[in-house]
Amino acid sequence: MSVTLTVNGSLLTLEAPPAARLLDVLRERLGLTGTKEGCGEGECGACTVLVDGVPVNSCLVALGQCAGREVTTVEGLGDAQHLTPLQEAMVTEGGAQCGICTPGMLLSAEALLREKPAPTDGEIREAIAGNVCRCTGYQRIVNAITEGARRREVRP
Amino acid sequence: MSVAGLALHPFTAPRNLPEALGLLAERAARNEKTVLLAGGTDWFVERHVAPPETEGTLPLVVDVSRLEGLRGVSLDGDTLRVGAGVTYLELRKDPRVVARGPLLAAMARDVGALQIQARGTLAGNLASGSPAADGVCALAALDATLLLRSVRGARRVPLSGFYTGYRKSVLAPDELIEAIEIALPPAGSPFAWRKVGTRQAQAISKVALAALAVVENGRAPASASAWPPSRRRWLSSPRRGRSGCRARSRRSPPPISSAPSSRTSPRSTTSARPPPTGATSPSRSSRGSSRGSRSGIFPAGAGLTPFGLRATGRLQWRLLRASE
Repeated sequence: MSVTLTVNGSLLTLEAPPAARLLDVLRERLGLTGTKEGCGEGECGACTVLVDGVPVNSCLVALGQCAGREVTTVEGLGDAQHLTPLQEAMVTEGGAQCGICTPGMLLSAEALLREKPAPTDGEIREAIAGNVCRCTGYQRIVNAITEGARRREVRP
Repeated sequence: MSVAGLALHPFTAPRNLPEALGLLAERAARNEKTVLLAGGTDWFVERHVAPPETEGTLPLVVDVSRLEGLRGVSLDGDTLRVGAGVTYLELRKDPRVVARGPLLAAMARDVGALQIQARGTLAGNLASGSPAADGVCALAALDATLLLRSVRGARRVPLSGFYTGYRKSVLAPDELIEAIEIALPPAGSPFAWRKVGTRQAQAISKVALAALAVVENGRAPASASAWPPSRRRWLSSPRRGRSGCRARSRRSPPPISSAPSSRTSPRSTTSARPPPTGATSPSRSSRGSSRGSRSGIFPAGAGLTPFGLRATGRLQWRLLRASE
């Protein structure tokens, strides 16, 4: 059975089992290993991707449920040579340590900033409440998102 | 872990509701298992912890998350209809829900985190039948009615008559939940929503409380009682765990009762502890690590102060409307 969907701007038709988790298809079929598996149960947010712009846990979504939809992974934000202002801020503000939560954090933050270009601390904390970080204590991530929002205004 | 087995499941996405119902009926007649997949926030987790499956017994996964007939929120007079496919995120953002069903909006905001809210549905919460379901608690306070449909026709079942036991309901194998219907209380009716878990986001509720009051003749409501009342059939051990709920009214006579009944989850290992004297908040009466969030419009003078509840395990409470 084939499933057609858009991943990071490319329209793809995949011969893949539609009941498979989106997470496994992204990592194993498409090699998009930026998306991490943490708990596999929708608790940690490491596998967060955007489906039609909305953050979801890709471990809880079937590939078949994404037919005709647009999926954005961390690879769809920017690469090492062309970081987005948000990614840049995550680096300069020390928002990433071990890095496992970072792709999911970036996508939750990206979705927030698309909706609210200048979020409050409370809005940032709610947006990343489903993304667990065991290193930073979150404050630097919140700082990074605030700084990313500021830089986006200058260079969207 | 058997997520690898997921790929073996047959999967289909019916184009419309009649097609889905036809499929359900055919499979039910042949005694074949079908999984109705909406948000997947329970099903994928169960697959993650389940033992490996063998191909012969795999159920058909039917994606109902985008069925047009299950979509949308509508308000017809004082009746709010929430389609079975409506997610918590859609619910909490819907201006009609925010204005006329603020208890639902407050509850939806406390379910999981944004990623879960973006996928999970109220109907999924009902169908999976977890005793820790936040959505069911709020719907109980609202006296919701479930619209069930099959090829045989539609029927309406009050939420109080939906469950028959732990994770068991009157839903027939060929039926699905089409929508949830709520006869709304007057706009501005006092309500409260309180969820207590180990942290605010993502926590499975230890206790959730939904309260609603209808003000009559300018007076604050007079009574409240605990959920679930002992008449509920699906309450398997009404005396296990002692818990209470107290409501206070400043302008009207004292509350009628607080039924000492509770429902505990099998996964809960704690038994009830005596409350600290004078405790006014569940987060303070349970051990320090519990976090909760509280919403509602029960300001001073509005009437009910539904706190002072004490409980451990996963319990759900309901305050009955004064008019009942």
